[in-house]
Amino acid sequence: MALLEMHEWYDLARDTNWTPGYVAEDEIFPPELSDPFGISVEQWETFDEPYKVCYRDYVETQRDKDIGAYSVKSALARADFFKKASPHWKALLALHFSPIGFAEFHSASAFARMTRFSRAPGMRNMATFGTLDEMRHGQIQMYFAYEFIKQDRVFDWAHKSSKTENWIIISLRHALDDVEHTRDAISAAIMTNFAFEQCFTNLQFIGLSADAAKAGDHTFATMLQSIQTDEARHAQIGTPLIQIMIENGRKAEAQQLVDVGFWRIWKQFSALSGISMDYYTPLEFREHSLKEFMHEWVVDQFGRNIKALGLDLPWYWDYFLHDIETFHHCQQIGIYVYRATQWWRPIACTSPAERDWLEEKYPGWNDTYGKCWDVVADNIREGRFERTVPVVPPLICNMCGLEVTGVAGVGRQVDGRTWNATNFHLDHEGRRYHFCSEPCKWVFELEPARYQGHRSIIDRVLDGTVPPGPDGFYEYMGQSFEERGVCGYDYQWIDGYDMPRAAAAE
Amino acid sequence: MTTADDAGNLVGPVMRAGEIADAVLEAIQEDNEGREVLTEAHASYLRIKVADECFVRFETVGDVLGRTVTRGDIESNMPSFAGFIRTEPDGIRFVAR
Ligand SMILES: [Fe+2]
Ligand SMILES: [Fe+2]
Repeated sequence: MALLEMHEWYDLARDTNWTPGYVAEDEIFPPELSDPFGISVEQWETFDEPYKVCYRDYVETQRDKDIGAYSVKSALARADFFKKASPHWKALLALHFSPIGFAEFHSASAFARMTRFSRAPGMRNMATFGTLDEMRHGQIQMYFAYEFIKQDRVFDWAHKSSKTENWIIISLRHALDDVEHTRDAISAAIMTNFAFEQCFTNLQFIGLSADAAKAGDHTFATMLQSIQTDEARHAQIGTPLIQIMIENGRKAEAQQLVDVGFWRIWKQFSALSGISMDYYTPLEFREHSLKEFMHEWVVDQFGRNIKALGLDLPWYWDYFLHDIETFHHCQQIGIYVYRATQWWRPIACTSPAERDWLEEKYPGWNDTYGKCWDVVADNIREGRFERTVPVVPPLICNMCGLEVTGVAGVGRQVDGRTWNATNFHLDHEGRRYHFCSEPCKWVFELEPARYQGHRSIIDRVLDGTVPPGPDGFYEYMGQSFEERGVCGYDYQWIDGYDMPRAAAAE
Repeated sequence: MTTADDAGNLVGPVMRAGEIADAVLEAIQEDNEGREVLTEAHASYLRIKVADECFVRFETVGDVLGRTVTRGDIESNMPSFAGFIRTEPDGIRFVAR
């Protein structure tokens, strides 16, 4: 008997809503988990998957994807790529694998909740495959990182990081918990599938794959794109959801979910992809700058989708365009100078040639961020290594968990230049909260009850949660002495990477 | 600097560079006759862009490659796309809205 084609049975098989006889509908689908917007089940049943897949096809395709990615890995394993990789590329791989692997694995639980609680049968279908996708992303990245452990213990953190209270992990977890894990199925899907996966994942998983291909790391390049082929499919859950929300008079709510989700995830990717693309990728392999990739994937490709769906660009769009050019440069300075608080070996990436590139991509870089690096370089040149590490702890944003920094071009004029650490703060119920930016403050003000209990790493130092003394601080963050970051180039970068220390001394 | 308005309404797949990407491009040129097909090659991926609407038929891609091509073969090599997607029994359609 010939098998029916998928389109001949799909609509019938998808129709899995029925009227419950033994329990009330609300007990199966509590509004706070399923739909706080009060949209009728008939409306949810209009959810039409833009990307239709059946289980048989899914399994076959995923198997082929895995065969492709794993066979590239085993074919290239003999080439010993990692051993020969520069501290640049090692830092980049550590920065990618350590926070992302488990975060993706956790995403499976967000998709599983969409599968369980959505009232739209079509959405439940897509989210089922999304759950399996995210398990794959956790597993493949854990497995690929595992290979490096025997050469570099930093990769222990691919598994370990998500269970620690390291400040970067606190920042990431707070953002992902907010967007993926602590809202009803519809809100979480609009934030995760639309605001996050239809835009920022492209940056790290396709943009960075271009750099990886140029660097000859075909294993990493193939893995990244293979993961993103799943994202491109399950991210489509967001599109019909937004349409149904708008058609049922919930445009404002959908807009707010997009605006909050987009901002929260942007901050994470600004640091992750920004530092990877503009600093850790060796100069000769850089395909584009973060700013250029952001314009390609987010401003153009995603910005058009927002408007085509009938939403508006987020209210902070102009500020966001400015942030694309500034925020990650500040974070890169912070990551380097507070290097012991990271588990990998941060690098400066400001050799003369790299500075020229940064100045070309971000005119004015030398006059702003470059001045900070001049001070760091002078201290190293004079052997004052202790002065390359600030004595005071940074101010941490109570929303994004990243450093509150000066932003070139914003704020008060000093010496003819604008460079001013602007701390947006808010007094709420007897406590002062600090924010790095107007949008981070705005997110807090929308739902103070949701956010006010969260304590940044600095809050935890001040309230005694973190044991006193430097070791107490690092132990709290899960970092033994060996797991505290040191300069990946052992300070040689000040003379340019091509000059070994012995030659420089002559 | 580009803004969301300048990008126009170019839609189409972003393909992982390689044999399938080249075949998809050829198929799109054939299946979208009379419409301009633009490309943008990057180190690891190829952007294929057609104004307003772009269709890629599995059979046409299969003809180019000389073997059967399924939705899964396209998906495995398509990490992203511009516009909105609609899977159809015989191909994938990308639309501007
Ligand atoms: Fe994922
Ligand atoms: Fe912030």
